[in-house]
Amino acid sequence: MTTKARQVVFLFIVLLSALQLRAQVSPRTARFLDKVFYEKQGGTFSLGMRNTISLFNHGNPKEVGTGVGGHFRLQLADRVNTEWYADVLPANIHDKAHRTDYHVGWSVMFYLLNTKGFTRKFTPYIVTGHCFDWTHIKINGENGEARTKFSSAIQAGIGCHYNVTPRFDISMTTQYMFHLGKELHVEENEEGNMELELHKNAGWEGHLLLSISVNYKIFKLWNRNK
Amino acid sequence: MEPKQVKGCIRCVAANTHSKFFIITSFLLLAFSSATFAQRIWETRKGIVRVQGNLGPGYMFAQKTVSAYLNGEAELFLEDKVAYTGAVCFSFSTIRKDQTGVRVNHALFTGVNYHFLKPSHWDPYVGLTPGVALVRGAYRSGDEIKLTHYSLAPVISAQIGCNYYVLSFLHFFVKVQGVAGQMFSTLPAPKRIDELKFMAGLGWNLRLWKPKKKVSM
Repeated sequence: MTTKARQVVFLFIVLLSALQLRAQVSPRTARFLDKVFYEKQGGTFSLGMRNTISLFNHGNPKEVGTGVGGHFRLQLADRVNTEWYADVLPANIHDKAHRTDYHVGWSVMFYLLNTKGFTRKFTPYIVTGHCFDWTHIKINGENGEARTKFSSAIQAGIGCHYNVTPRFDISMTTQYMFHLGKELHVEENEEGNMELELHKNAGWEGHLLLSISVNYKIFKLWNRNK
Repeated sequence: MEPKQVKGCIRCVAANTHSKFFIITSFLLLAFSSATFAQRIWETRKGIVRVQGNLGPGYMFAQKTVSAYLNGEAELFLEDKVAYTGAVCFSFSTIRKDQTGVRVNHALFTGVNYHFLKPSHWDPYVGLTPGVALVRGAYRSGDEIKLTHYSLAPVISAQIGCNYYVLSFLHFFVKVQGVAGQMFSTLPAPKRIDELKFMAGLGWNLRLWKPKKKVSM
């Protein structure tokens, strides 16, 4: 058999097995794929800007951080949307140090009510997701000590779209974000000086995030005719 | 003291004629302008880009000083009532060299404005425009005043404003923007950069595309 003939046979076998796999998809998976690719709202791409408020960092209600970010949303089905975001969140620590968190992550939103093409004024949802976090803590002043840490976090919460028009919404989301792994932390010693410490197994420490965003559905990646 | 009007006096007749001419001209101008303004500027705002540039003041709450900016803003109408907006503010230092506080506070904002009314001459709106500021502050270190490095400070921002479209390519505007954030850099203690910015002036409109009659999502 020539090399060319071998290539053709190889391709044929690969294609055949791929077709067989497609035919063997379970009805449940097929229904899911149908939802993703054929439901009316699937494929909607929207772009948004957000203001994020970190209501308390690690149990201290005085350390309120205000941040900004942006995101895009890609809706997979009528009731399932995904949000891909990046934000930066600085926070004050006792006026003696400051912490900046940079988040890049994603969330899945599940709409509790039928969205009806976002013609309802309010669309409540639950949201959960994951993000990568780069934390930078610096003690204030010219020669203040600074440390950084890269970590991962998970978040979950609730939210609601206020649909000003079917394509434009204002969304408010409350999420609790848990930082996983070691925790970079500032401690005040007995002399009143600040020290940076890395705590092992920080557990359930994190921050409550409140975000308000404006979003506009720009186009559809698929299902364009629906 | 006004001179007495004498019957048959040529100067008095000329004065009366002038005042009548002035009244009639004013009336005609008003009628013409009302007729022009009664016309709709456009059927839809979708596809319009609105740009403006101005010099505007602000008030910084934490350091209780007036600030000054050179602002530029553009707004693209994606729907009649929804527009993406972006703005750049270049700040001028308004504090003395021997004073501590925020010296530089340039900023970049982007977000969405919601316009309440259907296309007409008056166009009030509100917007959420998060942004980032490029800041530099002065602080006291012993006897001398030192400057921090330039640093970025994320700011939250909301705005309210109103446009008045005079012609299809021209409008007047007024806007108030509230900004909240804080700068850290190498300052011994953080400094709030919360402020209110005021803008007003003349802006330009340009139609980028003409939308189809009916758009379905």
